[in-house]
Amino acid sequence: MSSSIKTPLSNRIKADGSVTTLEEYQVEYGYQGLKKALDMGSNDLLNLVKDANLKGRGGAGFSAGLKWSFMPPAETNPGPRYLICNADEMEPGTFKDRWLMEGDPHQLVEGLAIAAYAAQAQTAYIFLRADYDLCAERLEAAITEACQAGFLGKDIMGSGYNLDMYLHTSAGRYICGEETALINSLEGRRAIPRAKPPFPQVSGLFGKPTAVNNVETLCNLPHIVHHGVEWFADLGIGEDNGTKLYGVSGRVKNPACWELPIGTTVREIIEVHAGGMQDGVKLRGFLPGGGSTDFLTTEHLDLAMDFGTIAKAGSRMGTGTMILLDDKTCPVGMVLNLIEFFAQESCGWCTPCRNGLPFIRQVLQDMENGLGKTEDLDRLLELCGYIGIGNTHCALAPGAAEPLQSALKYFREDFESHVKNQCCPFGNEKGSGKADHSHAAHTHSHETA
Amino acid sequence: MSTQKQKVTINVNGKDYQVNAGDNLLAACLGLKKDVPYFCWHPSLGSVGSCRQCAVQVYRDTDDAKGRMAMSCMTQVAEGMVVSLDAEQTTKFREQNIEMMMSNHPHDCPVCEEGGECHLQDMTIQSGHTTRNYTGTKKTYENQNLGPCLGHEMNRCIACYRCVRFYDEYAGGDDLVVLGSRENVYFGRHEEGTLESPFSGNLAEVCPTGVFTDKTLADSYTRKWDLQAAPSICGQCSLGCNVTPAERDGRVKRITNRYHGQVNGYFICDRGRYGYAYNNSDERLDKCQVTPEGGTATECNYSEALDYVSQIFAELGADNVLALGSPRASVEENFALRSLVGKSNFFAGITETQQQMQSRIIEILSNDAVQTPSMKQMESADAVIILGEDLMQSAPRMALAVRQASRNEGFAQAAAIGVQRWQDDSVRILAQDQRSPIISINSTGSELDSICAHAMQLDPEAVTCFTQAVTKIINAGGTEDAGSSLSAEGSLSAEGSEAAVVAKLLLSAKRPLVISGTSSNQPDLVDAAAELSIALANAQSEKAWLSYVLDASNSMGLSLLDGKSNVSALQERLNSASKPTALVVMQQDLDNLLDPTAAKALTDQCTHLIAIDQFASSTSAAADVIISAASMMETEGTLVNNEGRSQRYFSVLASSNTNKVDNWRLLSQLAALVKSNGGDSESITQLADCKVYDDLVKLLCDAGGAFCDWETVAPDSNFRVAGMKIPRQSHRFSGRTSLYADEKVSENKQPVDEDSALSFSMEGSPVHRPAALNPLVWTPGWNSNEAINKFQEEINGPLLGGDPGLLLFENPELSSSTALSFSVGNTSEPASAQNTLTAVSHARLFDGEALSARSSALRQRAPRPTARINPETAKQLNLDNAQIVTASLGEQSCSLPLIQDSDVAEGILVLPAQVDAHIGAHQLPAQVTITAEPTIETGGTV
Repeated sequence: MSSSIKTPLSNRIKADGSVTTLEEYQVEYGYQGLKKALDMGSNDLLNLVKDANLKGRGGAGFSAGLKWSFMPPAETNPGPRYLICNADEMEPGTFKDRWLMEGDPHQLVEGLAIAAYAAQAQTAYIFLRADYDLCAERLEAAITEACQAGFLGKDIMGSGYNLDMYLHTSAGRYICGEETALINSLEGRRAIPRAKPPFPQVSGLFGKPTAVNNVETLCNLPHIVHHGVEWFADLGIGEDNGTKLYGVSGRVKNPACWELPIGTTVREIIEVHAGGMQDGVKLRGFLPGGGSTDFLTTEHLDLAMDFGTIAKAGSRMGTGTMILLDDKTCPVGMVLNLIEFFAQESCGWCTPCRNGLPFIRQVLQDMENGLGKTEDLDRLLELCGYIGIGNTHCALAPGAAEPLQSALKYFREDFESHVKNQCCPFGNEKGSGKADHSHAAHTHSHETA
Repeated sequence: MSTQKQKVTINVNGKDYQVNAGDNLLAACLGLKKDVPYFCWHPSLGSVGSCRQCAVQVYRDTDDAKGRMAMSCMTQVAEGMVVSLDAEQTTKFREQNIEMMMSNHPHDCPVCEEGGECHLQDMTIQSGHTTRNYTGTKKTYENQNLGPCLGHEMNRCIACYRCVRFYDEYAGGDDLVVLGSRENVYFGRHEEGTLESPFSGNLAEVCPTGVFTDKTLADSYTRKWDLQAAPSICGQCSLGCNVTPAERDGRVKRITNRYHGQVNGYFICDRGRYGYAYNNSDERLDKCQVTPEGGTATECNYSEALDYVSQIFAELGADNVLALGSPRASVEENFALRSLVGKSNFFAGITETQQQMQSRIIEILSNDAVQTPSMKQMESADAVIILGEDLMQSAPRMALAVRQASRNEGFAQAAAIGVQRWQDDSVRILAQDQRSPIISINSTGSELDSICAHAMQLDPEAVTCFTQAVTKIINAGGTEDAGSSLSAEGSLSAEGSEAAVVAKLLLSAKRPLVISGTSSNQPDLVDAAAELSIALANAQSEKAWLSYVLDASNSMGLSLLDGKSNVSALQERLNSASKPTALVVMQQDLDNLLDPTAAKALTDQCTHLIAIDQFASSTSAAADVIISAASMMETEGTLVNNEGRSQRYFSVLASSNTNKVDNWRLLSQLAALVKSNGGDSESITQLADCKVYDDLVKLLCDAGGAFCDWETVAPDSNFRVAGMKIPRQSHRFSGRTSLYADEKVSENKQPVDEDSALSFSMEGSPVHRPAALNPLVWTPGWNSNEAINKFQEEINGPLLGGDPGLLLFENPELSSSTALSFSVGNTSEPASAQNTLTAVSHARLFDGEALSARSSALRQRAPRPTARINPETAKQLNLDNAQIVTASLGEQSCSLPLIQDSDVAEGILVLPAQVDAHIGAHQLPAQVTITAEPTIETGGTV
């Protein structure tokens, strides 16, 4: 019966926006996955998840089971261990985890408990984006309910396993989505990514073995444990297993988020589920997985949205939530908007990110303001290289370079016409970076701190 | 320390080198004297990968043509690693990176205090950035007033994070923070105010540019290249940190750290850095003064004063002239004074208790069973017990070393997962609050207590008893059973179980260190500390690690010269003198040794009193001859630090610029006059023959004992590099011909220094300077103190040619293999009277030392003097409402605000040991009578 479910993650989420209650959650097999996991033992559980090849849904696509296996064995390394749910969903254009947490919080609580058991952690944290007030309210209630029902706390369902779960709401920084910055923030330190190695699995929260998993990844666990590896593999279309939450934002008829088999084509997502482009605008390109992925164009519409296929095309599936560029929007302005975001969200630790992004912002602003110079195109490319992978302390700046470097590849004529005409052909007003003008204040503010 | 380090071979720019396995590539390359630019990395602070400036190209092997760019500070060297420092990709990246850093950096170098010794300037040139492409405006910030010692100019900040990493993480401060984020990070305090850490001054050197600068230098600013400097030793505590004072035109402008691989490394404390101001003080005794009997005081020059004194010798007979030496005068000065009056007429200028403690310390440290570690070695201790000392006040640089030792637990854990100690953030994250045990047993709390596994406050005698109890438990096998059975026997007090805990902590360590000192004036504690360290050593079958903090910069040297005499012996001698007697007091105020009544009685017994000092004191006020003394910056000499390391300092100022004569030279000249008047003792003749400093050094060698190798402390005045002396001025020194142009057209002749191999000029050898004679670190392209990496055998290692100084306790003449025997402490009855209490003194960093306390920058930072008492004791004595208490000792009394402090042992009153305290530290501990002024009721009629 239940093994015929095609949208396990969103199945229980109600259209009216109300939350799935504990009773409703338990109607089918709610918390049965946890029971089964506790019965099978943590080693078998870990192997099951490894076999399921559940790839991390936060963007990196790293095998969840493998991640836990890098933690030193609990038997030979006694002491605290932690499992953290990364619910700091701040990638531009991304709102998939919010949908899961608002609609069905127990699914995450159960998934996190299963993961914690697999990792032999005694404490689990949900690190939640600052703005997600409704999620916070519902998760807090779900954790309390789960505790009262004996699904969390001491000796869970008679298994002898103890788990404390805490919700921690972020103070609101994009960088907290980076797992080691998240851990620093959770410890009360500045949200600066840590140098790796050592990885969090070895020295994580409070210096103890720690695994960090995305909300969507964790939400898969109750279903994988309940239905098994084969069922999970059958859900996907291509090389990856399971379903994926895909989202589309931009000038489409029906911008939203859907759970679809992983490997669904871009075309199907945009044209069928998002209802195609609005009247009068044409699709020029899209960022496949959030603000920090490379542009792809209309020639890539028939690609499968899975980790490998999108990577081969020169971008990343990332969070699987697309941002669309249409022919009435200035690509330079769009990139400037993104760069402003990333410059704003830089933690300030390493030079390429801290000072390189504002430098890029300045060049793009000049361009939008009709002050672009011919050499600026080369300079932007050079700067993309400068803030590239390996040159920075973490992946924020390299991610920020992705939409810019690909825009320079696919929409070079737009940059050139900005310089040639000494204005924005889309009529972006002087000084406008499409969004707000706060950057103007940054450049000569009298801020003390 | 000398264990052979494992080596690996790496290839840098086509050449193979042996480097230390486990090092990071940046340190390895700098150690090979290669130029690699960097900002956030610091040899003491390790690597964090923030600035990204040290990028290099790393190749898998020689077949790998492409390689990959890596941050050298974050890359561990590996056997066969191939590295290029000038691959096109990385060269380009480093240039871009500097351009980014400079996008907000103001072009205010001409008016920046850092200009000319700016690491950012050097690295910008080295990295090749020249043209500004950024079209935006520069960010500006509001600066903060951070107090009298440091300037703050945030606009110059390049966000390398070194300041907070040093201040908070390395030195344990908590009032300098990083605020904000992105390109708007701000390094400062939550609000304006004086930086509180006693190590704050290091920020001026740690900051690679001009954000934090030495405010006392800025007050009368001189560029680094216009300063005249000399290698020197800090004279403001017993640790002997190496420093570089620098002057221009007769005025000392600043002190900077002078790297020594074993003593101070890269850092000194603020007393050492800012205490120099006394040298420029208007209150200096600039002229000599003679007051003939019945006459009035008349200023005079040196030769008149010396003539007058020689007449006294002639008049009374040399046998009737006594002298009191000083623990803050050099070995040579004390030796010259002793030579002048003869051994039997020379008395060490210390109290009887100090003499007992210091002589005993020398005996203990000379023993083969004991080794006293350098501060660098202390950093490798994995357990430290501090007995009766607040190191943060009495020896802050040692407190900093102890703080690093506390990290060894973290380093060990890091090593277990393959993390090297230079991976600074990774080690700190892994270690969190886990530390190697630091234990403090003292009468009062210390700022260091926050890292202590165990901090106890006991009255001074109980500190000794507790130490003895710990020793007993260790000798009994260290078990808790041993502790409790001793407790049951009644031979341990209620602290028995705590002693067992402490014993266990110490026994679990591989290299435990015992630190004590003379601050608390407890001779029994000196013994107890030694006994404990030997007990620990027996349990570990290693040499005991034991270190004592002493009172003054040359306490050790003075006691090595004369271990038996003291001021009490001088009193006795005067009491028994049958003939009129004269007394020469050099660089000492009798009020620091005796209570004022006794001091006055002593001076009254002298027919003549001759004071040689830099400042007026109650002693000089009673003297009929005052001779103006040269400061440490105006002469040369040798100090012996607390570990028996003799270290030479050289005059920074030429005597022609100060009109001061070396104190030893004055004494030699006086000897010549005495001799010509018929004084013909051998020692007077020898002293009179000392024409240059080397002659005096030779005399000390001949005197033998601890001083037999005195000439090896530093190269002598005949030392030359390729026939040249070593210039005190930089080769860029400017304005020599115009400095006195308002007075005359001709250029002043450069002063001649016949006492050292240094010259008062810019001419001389710019290279190959022995570490003991190097007045400044400079090498082409490296104008800041970061240039030190070119002068070290390896990063963090000894200076090229070996760290300077001579360790006296390694001298076989001093060593003894006879087993030490220890006194058993006698506990005296505690105070029982209602209104009496044992008063103890608490050392004060900023106003506790005679000379540095004259620095207004430090004076401003000294906390308000208060009397402190445990709240329980206050309650018992009905003092809990008192605002002001008056403590009386004999005829002396002091009135101070009373502070209740639970970090004070019960049953005692803690009095501050500032230089002008009415009850001097030398008189304590003692029973004082207390009277209290009750709280003034507010709200009544005015």
